[in-house]
Amino acid sequence: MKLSYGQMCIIVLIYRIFIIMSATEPYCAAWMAGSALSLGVQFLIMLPLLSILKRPVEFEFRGKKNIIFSVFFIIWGAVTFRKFISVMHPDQRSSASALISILLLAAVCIYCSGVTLRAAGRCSVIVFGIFIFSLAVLVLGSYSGIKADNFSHVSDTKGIISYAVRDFAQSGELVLLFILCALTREKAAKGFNLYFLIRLIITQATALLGTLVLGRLSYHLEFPFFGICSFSQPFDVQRSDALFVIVFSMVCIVNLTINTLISSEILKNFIKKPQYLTALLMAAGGYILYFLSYDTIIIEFVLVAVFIAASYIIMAAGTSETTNHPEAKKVQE
Amino acid sequence: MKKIILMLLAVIAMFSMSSCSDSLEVRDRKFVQSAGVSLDGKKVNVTVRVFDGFDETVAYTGSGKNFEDAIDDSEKYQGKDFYTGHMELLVTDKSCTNELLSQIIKANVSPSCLILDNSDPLDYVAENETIKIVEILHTAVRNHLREEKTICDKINGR
Repeated sequence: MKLSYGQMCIIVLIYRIFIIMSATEPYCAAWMAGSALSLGVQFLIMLPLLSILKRPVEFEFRGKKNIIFSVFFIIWGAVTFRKFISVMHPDQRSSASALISILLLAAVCIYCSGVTLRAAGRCSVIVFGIFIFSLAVLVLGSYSGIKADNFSHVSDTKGIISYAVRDFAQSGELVLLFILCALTREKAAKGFNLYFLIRLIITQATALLGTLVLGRLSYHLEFPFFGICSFSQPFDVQRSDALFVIVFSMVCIVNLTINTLISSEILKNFIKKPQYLTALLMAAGGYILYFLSYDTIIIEFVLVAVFIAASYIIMAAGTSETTNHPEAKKVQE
Repeated sequence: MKKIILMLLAVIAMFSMSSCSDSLEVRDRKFVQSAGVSLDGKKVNVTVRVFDGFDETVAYTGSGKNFEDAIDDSEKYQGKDFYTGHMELLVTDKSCTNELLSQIIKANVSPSCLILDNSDPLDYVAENETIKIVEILHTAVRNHLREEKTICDKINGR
């Protein structure tokens, strides 16, 4: 199961696009500064991965210690399910619709996880292309609403550090980066750098557009990204939010499918047909989280931090085993 | 090859099945062209002008504790749901607050909907055709007689 560096970069970006679209924080200068700060910190935290990748690395799905990745992807999948339902069904009274959405989504993910990672990578490229096209439509439709003084109208209710912490807490794709870098055929470092660069551009461009178009309005919206979509009218009396509902669904499915795929590959040696268990656990977790109204940001922050540390330990131990392997020693000589 | 075809079919199915479970047919809806809104203490009064047939429009009034309830109240004397997603004009008076505008946005009205101030918004919408008002506004904007003002501009204090 090998990916090209472009596919690797785009798969991880798809995770970030989901976070951008489902963000609840209002757009403002502090948000932009906080997310840039968080990205810088994350880049520095992940830099040692590049030196680990210089040694021969083979990610073995069968290893018992990799069950920890499976656990992470199931938990992260539940968080993703929760965010998806919150965006699609902001009114908690429609719990029957939410349940149907979750079950349909879980069924699609179970089906899609039957493909290889390479096929999922190709699919991600198509979905990313559709997102970029939709972003162009969004900019075209909301261009007339850009007002430079909206930038000064927004007052920052939370500090830069608060936004940076929230951004880090939502960066579960960093754990995925460990696995995908190890599964990339060549130029993994290029894909790694490309991911951080494109992520910075997309995040800042979206936040800038949101600030200039919506201004103080984003404080009144539950999901400011979809606020820009409802503002944007590329044609007369034609809003672009329906397009983004579809794009959001596709991004969510790719997101959850990758989680299910990797998690079930790891669990294959322990459970028969693990994709069913994985998808159902994610769906059940997401449904339960949907009805818990408290903010889980601190829990997510701790989760991401702990699993990044655990991933480093596993990858470092994995490379030392590979480096000491007789075959690897022959290659190095 | 078979898997690629199946995945493409899944994408097509996603496009065709999105947001269709509890949606209404177009003929079961009436599209709101414009709304006049006024706050009377804690009560919200609305007059909506909706499409009724090819070029005909009709005005209905309603009231409620928020904008969405007021729209639901205005529907009750005819048989269809009102859809505010394509509303072109909102007429308000001095009683309009940011909280009311927030309710209006949450009722699926686009933030780029034009907004007009009038001392009696309910009568203004009841007595005037929306298309005429919108055309006059666009002409005034083109001739630099006034600036185009949307709900978003109003919330941003313009």
